[in-house]
Amino acid sequence: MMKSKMVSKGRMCYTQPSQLRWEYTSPYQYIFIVNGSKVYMKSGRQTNVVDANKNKVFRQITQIMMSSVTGKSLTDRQNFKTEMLVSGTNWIAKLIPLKKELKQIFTQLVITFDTKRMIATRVEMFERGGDTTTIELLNPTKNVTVSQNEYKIN
Amino acid sequence: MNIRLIKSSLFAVCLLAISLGASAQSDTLRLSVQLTFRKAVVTGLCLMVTSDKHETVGSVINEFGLKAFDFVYNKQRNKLKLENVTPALDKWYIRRVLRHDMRTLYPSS
Repeated sequence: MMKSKMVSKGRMCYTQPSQLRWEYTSPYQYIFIVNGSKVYMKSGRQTNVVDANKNKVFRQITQIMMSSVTGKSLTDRQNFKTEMLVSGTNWIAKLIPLKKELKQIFTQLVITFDTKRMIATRVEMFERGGDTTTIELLNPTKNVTVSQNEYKIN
Repeated sequence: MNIRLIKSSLFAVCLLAISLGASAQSDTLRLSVQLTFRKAVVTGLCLMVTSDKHETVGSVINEFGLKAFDFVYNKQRNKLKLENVTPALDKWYIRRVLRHDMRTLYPSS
């Protein structure tokens, strides 16, 4: 529908086993934090805190996000059919959703891994309606200390 | 048809005023969007482009880029049509509210 691309920028932190901060800084401000079972979302002045243990939809969202970050989604045969390809120095994983909730939205997810750094560098989400969202992970660093303040839920 | 769902959901699309959340980049206008249910609030963005003097096309997406729905407003016929509605919102009673609320962007002259 929209012919032009929309580009947004931000940052992401992850700490095992279940802490994730996903933040957009431009052109809009948005923060998504997973800290254990708690999910915190802040968009402008609107904030929401959800207990994923009590909300099936958010439980699924957090499980999928976490498993995508850790790579567990590659072996999650319950939720995805996975095909692995090699392209130069990259591994490419094509994940086809198996469960109805994700199948309705996505035709496939494609994750590109840099084999030298052993880290995911790109995630492409192909929606059933024809749109694609591409997430490029630039300048990733591993095994660094992340302040717990990054995952604080107010 | 889930009457209980209709009765138990307070559903409103709140499009923040241009002075608050909107910004324009060339011909694309971006608004902040908030869908309010009784037990939840979902936020996102509304992107609109006026393709010619009679038609505006737009998309409502969440901050991760995933689409909620597209819409086309025809100024000549004063009609707003929803397209590509995500399955979670693709119920007749929700579409009706979405159409009604999106129409507030285009008050009849």
